[in-house]
Amino acid sequence: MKGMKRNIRLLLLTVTAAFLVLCIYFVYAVSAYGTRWFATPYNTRLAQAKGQVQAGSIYDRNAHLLVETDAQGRRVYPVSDKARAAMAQLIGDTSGAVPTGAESMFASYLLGFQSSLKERFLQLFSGTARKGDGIQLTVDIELQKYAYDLFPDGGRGGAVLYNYKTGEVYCLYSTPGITLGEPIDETEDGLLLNRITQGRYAPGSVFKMVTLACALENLPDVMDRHFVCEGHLQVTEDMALTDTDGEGHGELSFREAFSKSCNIAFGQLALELGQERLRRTARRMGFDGNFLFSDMIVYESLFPDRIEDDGELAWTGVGQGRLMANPMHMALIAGAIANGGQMTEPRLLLSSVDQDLRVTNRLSTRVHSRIVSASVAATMREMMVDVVENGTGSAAAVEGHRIGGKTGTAQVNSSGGAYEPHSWYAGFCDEEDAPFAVCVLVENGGSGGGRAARIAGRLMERAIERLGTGE
Amino acid sequence: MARRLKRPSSDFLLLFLCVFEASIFGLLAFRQGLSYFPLFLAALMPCLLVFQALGLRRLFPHMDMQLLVIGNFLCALGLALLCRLRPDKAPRQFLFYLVGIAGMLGIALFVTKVRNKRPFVLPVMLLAVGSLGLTLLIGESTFGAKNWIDFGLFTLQPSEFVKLALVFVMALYLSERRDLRGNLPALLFAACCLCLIVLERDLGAVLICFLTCVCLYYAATGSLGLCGLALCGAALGALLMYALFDHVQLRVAMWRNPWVSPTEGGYQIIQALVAIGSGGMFGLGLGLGSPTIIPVNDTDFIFAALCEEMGLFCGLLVLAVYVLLFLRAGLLALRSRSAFDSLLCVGVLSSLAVQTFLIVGGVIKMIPLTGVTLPFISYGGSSMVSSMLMLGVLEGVAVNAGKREEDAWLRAQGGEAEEEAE
Ligand SMILES: [Zn+2]
Repeated sequence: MKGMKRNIRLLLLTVTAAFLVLCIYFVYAVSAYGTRWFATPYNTRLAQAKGQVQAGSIYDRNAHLLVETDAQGRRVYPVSDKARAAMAQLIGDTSGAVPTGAESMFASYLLGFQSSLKERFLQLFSGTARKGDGIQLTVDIELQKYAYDLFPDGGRGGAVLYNYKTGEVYCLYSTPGITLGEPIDETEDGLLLNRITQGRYAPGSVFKMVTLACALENLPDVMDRHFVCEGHLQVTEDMALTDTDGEGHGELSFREAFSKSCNIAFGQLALELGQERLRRTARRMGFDGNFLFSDMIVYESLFPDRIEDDGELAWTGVGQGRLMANPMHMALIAGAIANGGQMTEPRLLLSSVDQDLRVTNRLSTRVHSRIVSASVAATMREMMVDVVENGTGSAAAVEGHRIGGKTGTAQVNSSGGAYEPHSWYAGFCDEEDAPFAVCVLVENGGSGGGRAARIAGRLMERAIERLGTGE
Repeated sequence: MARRLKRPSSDFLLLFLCVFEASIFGLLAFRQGLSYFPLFLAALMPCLLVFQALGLRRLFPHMDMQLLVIGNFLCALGLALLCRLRPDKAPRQFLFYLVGIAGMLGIALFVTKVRNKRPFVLPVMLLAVGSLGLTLLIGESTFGAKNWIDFGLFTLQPSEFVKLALVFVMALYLSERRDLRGNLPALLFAACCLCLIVLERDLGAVLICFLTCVCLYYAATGSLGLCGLALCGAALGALLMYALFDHVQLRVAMWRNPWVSPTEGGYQIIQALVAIGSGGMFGLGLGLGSPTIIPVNDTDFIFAALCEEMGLFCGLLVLAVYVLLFLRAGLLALRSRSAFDSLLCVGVLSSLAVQTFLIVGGVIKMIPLTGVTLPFISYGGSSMVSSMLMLGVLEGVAVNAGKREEDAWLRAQGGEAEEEAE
């Protein structure tokens, strides 16, 4: 009998523990995935609600009206044609064809699913047509239009600029895209894709931010090292590492190797570090991770599961090989470096507002994770500023401001022949008054990262003018 | 001793439940125009509860009021959800609830009044095996499991009652003998039932019965080795079933990633998740959501419907109520002086706990979905009645334990009085 009591106690403990796990999982699942479950196209509630509820308006951060519902229940866009094109991927269409757009992501606000119970009951009993909440996005429509102007007609790519202290995204632009309010052109591919949040590209030298972090963490003497670059390094018998311009940089310090983006030096570092350490750093910085941001869907970047040989390892260290990077993620890394190693969760939703623009729910800043230590971040920040001041990123400089960044040239190995490489730039403004990080990608934008860096510099300049808090 | 006899007052609990029942059914009655059945329930349910409480308390002074309140709360919640989801089915469910109350009374009487339960073992065994065999022969199937018999007037799902039969038989044998040989008949009976249910392809019921048996065996003997062996065997069996049955493979695939087939295989689970996601923290409000979109929302997925309209918060609350029920049953098992009574409690407790865990875990995609009902809440006569019968078993044990304590106390008092007299 006594033994039985002990057994029963243990059973009871097990049952309680099992249910505790169930509850914890339940809370976790709903808080992490709830909005995503809600926003799926398979949620017939949304279509139903669209018939019954007058969807709320969408404003930008300065309360410019971007989208509203007219008397007939249609969504209308009381902005210029340019603005309609510039914010297409950001807002998304109403049918959910752009699942990462604000119309889909924030449908629970727009269709009144987040209104308080009191309000819902009142609307039910008063018999008036139900109205959804309005939302205020973190973006600045002027900056968004400016980004639109910076990309040439027919160009492909995108730009993102966000505040690395608060996580507020000021500009999220992707091209080509649809024009809101007009039928979607079915014949062209990729119009619905947000290249910044959903795209994955070979990162090229932008990835050297990760290799650099890994080297600083694991090789104590690395700052004092010198490299000799002849523009060519035979890694294995059939695999050679080359520099982009092939000329060779000659003798370089570690700092110079980064600011001149020397493949030979960074390939050697990758070989010395080995794939395990490189992978560990990359994962900590967000590769292969599942970003569960609460109001933005960002696809994860991919680090290869297994690197076959030294040749591939060397190429991986300089951002080629089978690496795939998401532009938003690269912006987040650059922002985190400027922010002392702390990655802030990016967000698109500033607040939900009622008809009179009174804020009903203000959303707060959340820290996502620490990707590097404060001291490594400080060194990296200096070296990235050096890239813009003395190295490959000079096109991104903004007169009178402390700008840091990293350019990238990603070779595209397509079977269809030789393509121009993708042009990358990820960087930041290292100032208290303007804590902004940026990432620009121009598909087939040419080598050297100049195109992307130039766009990023102009965008940053404009952002500092409009949104910086200094005089 | 006197401290133990003093029971906490449960009048407040009763009052609370009455108010809850009156208000939730009242709200449902005026939701769209006026519907009479919820209004009728709003008046009747509190009366029924008070009647149960007073009647039972007269019949059994030692009954456990908390258990009764918890059971009735869950039933009322289920009925209310059904009034909301499938008003056409609600009257039937109310009828089942009445049958359940009668059954609860009956089984409580059986547990308390029948001294020698030995003669009932053979009939129970035969009835259980017979009904399972009959289901295999003339049963009908839903969702791949052939587990119910149509009697015209009503349908019966024998596996729901076999759980109780298993608990009864196992508890009786295990309370008398602890060695493997002495318990062979009970174990053989359990194996026989399990095989029949496997043949019915009712995997949820298999899991519940099997884990209940293991829990009972462990509680009685404390033999971790044998139970571990049984669990390993079961894991092998599960792998075998995975290899053999298509619908098991589908279930597992849809648990791992339902989004690959959102309109076919993953449809049910995705709709459940979407509903839960739509409800959010505090739900859309009773009557304001669209839980009718969820497939099989009255039985398997009733928890998702609950979460859509009442939110994550109420979902957790309901889980907490279940845990309270299990804890209460467990404490009863610890308090009871009779090994048979303790084991009855353990059996009922593990059966209810496994079933609740399986279905809630399945609906929120923590584990693969097994189509079992949520005890007390889901629609279904067999499920409702068997849940109430289990409640009756617990009440019976509570009455037995209370009576024994009172006797002991009286004896001690008597002894003291004699001592004083001397
Ligand atoms: Zn070089």
